[in-house]
Amino acid sequence: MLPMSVPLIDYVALSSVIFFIGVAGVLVRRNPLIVLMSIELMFNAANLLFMAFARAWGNNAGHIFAFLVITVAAAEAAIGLAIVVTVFRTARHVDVDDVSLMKG
Amino acid sequence: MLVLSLVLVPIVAGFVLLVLRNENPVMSRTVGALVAAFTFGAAIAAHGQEWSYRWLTRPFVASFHIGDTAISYWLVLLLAICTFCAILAASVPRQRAFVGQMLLLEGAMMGLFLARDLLLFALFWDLMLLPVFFVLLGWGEHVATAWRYFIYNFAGGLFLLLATAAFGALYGSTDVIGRSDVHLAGAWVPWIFWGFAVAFLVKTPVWPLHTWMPLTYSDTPSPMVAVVSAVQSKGGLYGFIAIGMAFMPEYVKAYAPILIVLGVISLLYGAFVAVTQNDAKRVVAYSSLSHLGLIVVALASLNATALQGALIYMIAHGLFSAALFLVLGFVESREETRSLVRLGGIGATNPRLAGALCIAALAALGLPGLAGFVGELIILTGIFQAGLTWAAILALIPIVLASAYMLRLFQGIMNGPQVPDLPVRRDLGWLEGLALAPLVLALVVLGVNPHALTTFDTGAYNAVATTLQGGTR
Amino acid sequence: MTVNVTSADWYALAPISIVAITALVVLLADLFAPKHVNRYLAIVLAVLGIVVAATDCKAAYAHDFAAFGGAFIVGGFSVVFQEIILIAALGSVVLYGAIGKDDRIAGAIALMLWSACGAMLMAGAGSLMTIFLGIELLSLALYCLCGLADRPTAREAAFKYLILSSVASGFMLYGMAMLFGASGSVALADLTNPVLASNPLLWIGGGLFLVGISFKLSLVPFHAWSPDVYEGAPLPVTAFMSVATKAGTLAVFARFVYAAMPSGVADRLLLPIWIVAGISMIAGNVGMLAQHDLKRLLAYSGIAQIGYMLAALAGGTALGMRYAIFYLAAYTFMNLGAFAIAALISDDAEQGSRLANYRGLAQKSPAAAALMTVFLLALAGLPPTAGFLGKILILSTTASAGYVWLGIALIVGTAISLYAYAKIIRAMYQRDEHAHTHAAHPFVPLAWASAIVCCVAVVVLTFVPPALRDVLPLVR
Repeated sequence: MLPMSVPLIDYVALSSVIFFIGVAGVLVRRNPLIVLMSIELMFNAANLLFMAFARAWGNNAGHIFAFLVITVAAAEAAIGLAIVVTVFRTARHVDVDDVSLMKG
Repeated sequence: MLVLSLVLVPIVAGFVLLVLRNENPVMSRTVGALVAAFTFGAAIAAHGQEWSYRWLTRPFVASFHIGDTAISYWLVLLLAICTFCAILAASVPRQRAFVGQMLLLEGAMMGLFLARDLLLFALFWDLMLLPVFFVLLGWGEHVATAWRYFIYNFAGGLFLLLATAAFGALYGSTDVIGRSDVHLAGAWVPWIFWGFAVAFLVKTPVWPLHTWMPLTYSDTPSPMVAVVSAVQSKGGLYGFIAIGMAFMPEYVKAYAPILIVLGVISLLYGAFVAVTQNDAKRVVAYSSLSHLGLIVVALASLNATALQGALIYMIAHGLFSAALFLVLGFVESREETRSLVRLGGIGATNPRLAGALCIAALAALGLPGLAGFVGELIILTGIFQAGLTWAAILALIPIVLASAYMLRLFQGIMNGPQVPDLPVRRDLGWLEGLALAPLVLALVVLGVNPHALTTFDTGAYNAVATTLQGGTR
Repeated sequence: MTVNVTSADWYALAPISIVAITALVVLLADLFAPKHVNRYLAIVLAVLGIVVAATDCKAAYAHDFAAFGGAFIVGGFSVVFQEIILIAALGSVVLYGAIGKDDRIAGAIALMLWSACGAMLMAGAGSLMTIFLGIELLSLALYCLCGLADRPTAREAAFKYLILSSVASGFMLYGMAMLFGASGSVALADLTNPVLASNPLLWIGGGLFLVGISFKLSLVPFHAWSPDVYEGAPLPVTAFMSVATKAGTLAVFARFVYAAMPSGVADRLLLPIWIVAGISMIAGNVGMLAQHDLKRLLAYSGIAQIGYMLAALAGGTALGMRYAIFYLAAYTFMNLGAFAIAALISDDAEQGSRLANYRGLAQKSPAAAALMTVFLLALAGLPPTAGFLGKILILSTTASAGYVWLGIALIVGTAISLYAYAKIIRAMYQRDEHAHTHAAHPFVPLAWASAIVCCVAVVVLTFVPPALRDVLPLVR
């Protein structure tokens, strides 16, 4: 195992902070673009964790996983932006609360 | 294989009638009656036959196991006779579909009585409710009635399902009906017992679970309700004998006081309400509540004599209630009402109709010489033997009241001054007469010679009576 | 760890590859086909591809094999789930015969096939990476499919599904990262190491992972998306989504429950899931009562049905697994059948989605009404349908595994649901002189065929239940 200059727990702490910023962003922000960005933040928090654990365990499966997540997140962002555009094309301003034709 | 045809032939014939295109009332009625007549003959020929095919091996053993038992044999014959008569008497709009539903009902109930497997029993139990539900939707007077029938009975069916699953999990096999070596024990058995009991008490019905019944009986077309009241209601009682008393006698004994109290309340309540009803079909509906309450008391008294009486009375009640509903159907189709207040004086112009109603009503009130009397007498003797003197005395009250409401029914329809604005129609035709003849004949034969039922097959009650003795000691 | 990839590994992926290639073929054929045949050409090609894939898939039954070093595991378990997913794809693709704009059919079918690939990948996933890949492939294609209709509700459904499902994926991914941290491996097999039982990373990671799963299964606290998405999405997409997402996710969940947890963890970690399953049975069925839209009603119904399937898994027994699969198969047929009937009485405006349009259906089209009745009875769990047998099997296995309260929740839920289903039956058989039911589509043979096949399957499964041996999930 390689020597680590930064202890593992710091990575875990940082990633969990990023993750919760992402969750809070999804819950609090009303702009769909920022909601999408918050989701990316959640994914990237997981990436950071994968990298940290991959290094700690000396198992590069974590690296591969992170690459996979980056690829998937790119696809998700592309589709997400396309959907946001179609939904809000006719709207004057964008707010997720306006998307409520159907109510549970 | 013949025994299998008892279930399959009516179901297949029913489906064929339902999907056929051309609407020919005579053809539908002929096909229906022929199928019912076939099941009657086949039921006699197939007595004692069994047919079995493995269904599940896990989580418990279950089979498509079909075959009559000493008790269900009589119910199967009753079902065939009642279906035959009801189909002959049927004259409703969209006859083809109606007869199709009647045959489906017959097939499902054949399955119920012939099932030797609890899971199969539960399957046919729910299945037999569907044709009635559809007839109530398609031919009934109020949609709300169909609802009430559906919800009450399927809720009961769910209890049955739960109890069956628990039975299978506990005993490892549901292929048990008709076996005398099966005995359940364990902490869960009271729950299983009540699961079955609720389903049976709803179906019978017994106060306070009866509220679906008067509505259903008055709203369903007469031919269907004749079969429902004559045979479907016996499904619960049969289940009580074949499942509750056979496999869980201790619990029947333990909870007998509750059942007896419910039965006594039903038989009193039904009789008192029947006296006050003005709708002819409701009079019979409440009288059924009262009569079936008596059978529940007989079964819960855990006495071999009462059990024997209960079986006779089950058959007798089937015959006379089918006859009553069919005759009331004839009256209704002639006069377009069944209100006792509006009806009157029909007997003068329709003597044969009056005669038929008279015999059915006399059988219902327990006139000696007709089948009802024999059953009531043996049941009362049995209840006395069991030491339930108070129940027997209370059970006498409705027998007196039965004379009151049945005579009131007869008088309200047939006697009195003729009501001028009622349409005058022709008397009972030959087809309608033919529809009633088997029921009346059977009522007289069983009334004169009840031994036909009690001694035809001496093994009839042995299985149940043995477990019952074991349970009471 | 070195993994030697041989041809056997690729053969294990053959069914998925066939479906993926079929999707490409459908797209290419659409480019060259004349306008008036492209709809049926796309459907026929897709059906052929699915049938070939299903035939090929069958071969792996009872031949367990861990491909790619355990990342993808084929065997009885994966085969059964993959077949169910393929049936779902088949039953949904044929609905495009009745619904949808001509020029979009090929694209929609291709997306649906790729989505099915994702679900099939989940069915065999043996590592966290494959699970993630499968879920995302399934979901990404579904986001697009949901929006593929010219209705604001469809776009709204796509948007809601995108946001909520991505959040769930985020939770799941973060949980996976934690699980990876706990075991140092992405293989599910390495999670069974008993040392991990006291590792907080496993508990937190497992918890987050299960939150993600509950969302994808639309269990109760995380169910709010499903009625809206089901209602908004085009009818064939709803049909596909209702079965394929559930089948794929259930496979992942079952593998996690049965084969990827250190001993002693399962009881405590999974208890919240069983509780949530019990609540879902009741809440889903209660939710059905007030609905006026068939797709929305079936969404709530699905919430309850997945609760029933989870109840079968509650004891972690081999029989429970079989019955969950049995019920899933039965549910697949009854659900697809109901959607086929809805497609029969719809055109692009999807009249078949509104329950008001079922009034007096029995007069207009007795056969459609009769078939729909069978499917509704099956969903309610009444004989003579597979729903009845499925429920009784689940009841008995759940009760003997000691989760009697789940059995009681099942019965209570079923009792409530009876009313909701019977309401539709009643409407269909009501004698309505002014029935404004949309006349049945003149000729939609594929949807009819699908409905009839589903009806036969629903009845036959009751009387000849498949034996389903060797369907326990394995990890290595």
